[in-house]
Amino acid sequence: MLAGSVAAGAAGCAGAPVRIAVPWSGWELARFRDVMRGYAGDPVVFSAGDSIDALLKNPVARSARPDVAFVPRLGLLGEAASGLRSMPAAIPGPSHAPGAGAWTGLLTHDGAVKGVWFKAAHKSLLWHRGRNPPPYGAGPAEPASWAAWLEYCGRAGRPLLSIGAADGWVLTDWFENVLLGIDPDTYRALLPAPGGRGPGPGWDAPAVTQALRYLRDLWGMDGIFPGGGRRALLTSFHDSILDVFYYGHAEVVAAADFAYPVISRYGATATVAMPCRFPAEHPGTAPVLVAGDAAVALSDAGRGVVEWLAGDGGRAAVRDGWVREGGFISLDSQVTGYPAALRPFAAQVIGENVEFDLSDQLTGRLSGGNGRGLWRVLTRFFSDVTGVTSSRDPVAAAQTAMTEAAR
Amino acid sequence: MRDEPLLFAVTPRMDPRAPATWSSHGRWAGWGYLLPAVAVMTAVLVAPLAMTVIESLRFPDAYRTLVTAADFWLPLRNNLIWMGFALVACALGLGLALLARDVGGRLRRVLTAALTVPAVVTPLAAGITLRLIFDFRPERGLTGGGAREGYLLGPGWIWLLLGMAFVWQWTGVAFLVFREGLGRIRGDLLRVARVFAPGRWSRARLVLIPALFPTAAVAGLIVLIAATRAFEIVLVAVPGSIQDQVDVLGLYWWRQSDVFAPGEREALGVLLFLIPATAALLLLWRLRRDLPPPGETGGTGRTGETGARGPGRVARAASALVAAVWLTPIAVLLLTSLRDPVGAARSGVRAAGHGFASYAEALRDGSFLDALTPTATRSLLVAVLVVLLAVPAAYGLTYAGMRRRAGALVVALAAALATIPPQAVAVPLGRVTDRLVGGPVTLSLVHTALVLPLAVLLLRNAFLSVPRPVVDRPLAQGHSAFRWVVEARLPAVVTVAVLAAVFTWNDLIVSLLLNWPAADQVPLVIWQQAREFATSAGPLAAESVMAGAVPVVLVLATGRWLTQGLTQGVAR
Repeated sequence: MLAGSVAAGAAGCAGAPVRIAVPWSGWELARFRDVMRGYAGDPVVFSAGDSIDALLKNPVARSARPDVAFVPRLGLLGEAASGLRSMPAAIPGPSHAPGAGAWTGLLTHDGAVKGVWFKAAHKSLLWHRGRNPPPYGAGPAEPASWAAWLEYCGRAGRPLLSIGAADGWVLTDWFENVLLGIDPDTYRALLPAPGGRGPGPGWDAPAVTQALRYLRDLWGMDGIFPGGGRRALLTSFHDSILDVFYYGHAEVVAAADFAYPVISRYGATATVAMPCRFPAEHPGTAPVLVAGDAAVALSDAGRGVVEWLAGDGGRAAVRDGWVREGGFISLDSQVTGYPAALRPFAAQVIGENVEFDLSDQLTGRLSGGNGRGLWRVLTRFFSDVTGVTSSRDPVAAAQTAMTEAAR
Repeated sequence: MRDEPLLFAVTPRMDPRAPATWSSHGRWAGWGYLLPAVAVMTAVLVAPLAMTVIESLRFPDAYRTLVTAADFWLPLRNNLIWMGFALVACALGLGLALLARDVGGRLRRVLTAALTVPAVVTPLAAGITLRLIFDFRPERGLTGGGAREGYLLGPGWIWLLLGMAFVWQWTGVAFLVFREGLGRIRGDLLRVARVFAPGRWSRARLVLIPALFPTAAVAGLIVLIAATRAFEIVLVAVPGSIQDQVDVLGLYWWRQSDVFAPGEREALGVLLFLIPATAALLLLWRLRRDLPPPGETGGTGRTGETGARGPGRVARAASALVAAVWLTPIAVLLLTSLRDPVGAARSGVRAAGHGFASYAEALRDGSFLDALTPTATRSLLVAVLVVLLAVPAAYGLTYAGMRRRAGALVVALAAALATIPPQAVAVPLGRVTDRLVGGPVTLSLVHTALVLPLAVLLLRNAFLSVPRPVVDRPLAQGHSAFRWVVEARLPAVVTVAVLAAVFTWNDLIVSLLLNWPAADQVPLVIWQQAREFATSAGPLAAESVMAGAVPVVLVLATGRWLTQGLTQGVAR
């Protein structure tokens, strides 16, 4: 029996399958597995969730390293760049639209391209709840400016917003959208320099103060969140969507395009989701904050997978599945078939005037997931301004924490 | 079950009978029997631990950097809170063991089963179950809704959740240990107590508690080690925004590993080992002094049990209530798993409409099924390896002519080795496993080594309780008594095999640290679905049920053997 077991165990690792680490779980993980069904060689796909840092940067064992990883945080890419395989120059690139150069530039380290963009996301969206039949055009107007929005929310007198404050990235998305809508120059100044020097000066800039003030004014409104700040802190991203589109506790949620499949699956059948742009400080300058998951290869076998994904086979598999169901924006301008509600926003993502997610590019003490870096600062800030914890001056406290962590 | 070892390690064995050194065994025969187990433990536990210690000392500042980090003290404080949970679980276990003496027959068996089942499922499933129950949304959770919602959202609720998950899992183990302990209290002691100490409480205070001290130490130690290893429950049950508030050292080691200074990770690994190991050795030392001389306790059988007394109605009702309370989380998990995925996300268990849609979704992409065979193979392999290594080792420690002092030293070492957390050895092991082909086999060796100390200690105690003639006859004829001893204590061997299999089946952390990308360990596959907990509740519950069914069925199927095995393992 023992010999049999050993043989069985040994057989399992004979032709070691390619191992792919992804950040998605649940429905999204299943969609990615569908994509990989088209790839010959039966790869192992596993979800590392928010813990992909621990896997790439300092794994306990080299055997615990995947062959391919999908990296949502570019800061991580820089820190792990030495272990990543460079992509051949002749990789069959998608038909890139205007902003292609900037996207590829984000993956370039020391002159070599270290990965391929797989999935992009539009993070400057507000999702409103409407009724069936869809009153497109007659729904709540897109807030023209922060002043207008604050006034609208203040007048409502009922829980208007839902927020998944249990997930730190939801809070950083809010902060980045607000800052980008106030002063794109300051936003860019906070990005790490190309050489990976860490964030430059700028966290003490007036625009950062203003962004935090807007957030304080909005988040701190009495009764703006259903159940108050304490409940918001326990509400996950998906729960915040259910709040608006199934329970009806709130009317608006700020969420990326990948909220779409969650709404269509878990939302009530009678409700219709109406996305619109996140407001800016002044009308007409609404931000387009984008993010994405880049495929990187940590072994030669892994490079085969990445090349396949970037090639015709992978693009077809994505186009015929995930893209149609929503929540997947491709950087390939030839890809069509997005759900109607998402079509205009998919076009914005591949356009020129986009800014890539700031927190995903940070390095050092401002980086990191749960309980770390900017996530932690903003979680604390949220808890202060909603009255869960108390602080004399939450704006100053948060800004000081950011400035110190950036040093 | 990984944290059992000290139960057996600290049950001292003072054999009043003549040593069997006149047998055919030479002086070194005992070491011969021990050799394979010692080799595996040295290679997989001792050497990596030594490397961790050396690495931590190579950087003079490592320990100072560790303890001066601002983030270090909160996880340490939280580990102390977990130790408080351990005390609660032990107190409850004792109370229930006392209660169970007054009820008999079927009810007692139901209570035992209800308390044991949570202990054999993965801590991941316990975390998932309690998070389902404690869902703050009035539309979903059992406890949410109405006026109490505000209370559940308070800062203490997460500790209530974590504490209840832990107590739910570990009270059963404390209960089993105390039940054995109570059964071994001498009947005449109790009769005297009944005459001289009026009232239940003073009887407990004057007689039961002092007599139970060694058992309490054993139970406390097992549960304490479990508490210091808290990992999965925190990982799966706590929303992201408060993860940092409830961080524990084991998780801190894993999450912060990329920002540690040189040697700091190793220093924390050493600390993670020293905390439970110190507790283990202190108790071992304490117990040697507190125990009454061996002659007084021998051969009383189970006279301490008071099953002869009429069944108290209150005790019966209380037992039934406790069993019901302990089975409630299982019922919630089962009911949630039987909702369809969308229904479970929207309304949890609080609505009608059941089916197997969540099971279908959990199995749809094949990753769960793909992990079943490797996990089962590893569990079986580890069970076989542990038996092959631990049985000779235990025999070597008992009837193979080993010197008493050397044997005692080996036992103390095994007790210390049993407390090694995977974090203390993982990094050096990771360096080695890279070079070895055959991940599953290497991983099985690690699992084997981690269970082995416990297995040796359990079997040693069981072998010592073999009736003398069984051993003496073959020894007098110049043969080895090996076969006879093993045959006489087969239930203990089965118990060890089951413990090893369950430990391996439920393991998350060893696989996470050494073999994550293979994604072929069942708890790892469950965990990767937990990122969006709310909308994955149905499939998560379904996977937890399927993963938990295996050890539960295994333990219930071998229950009779296990009871005998445990009794032999702690018998004196």
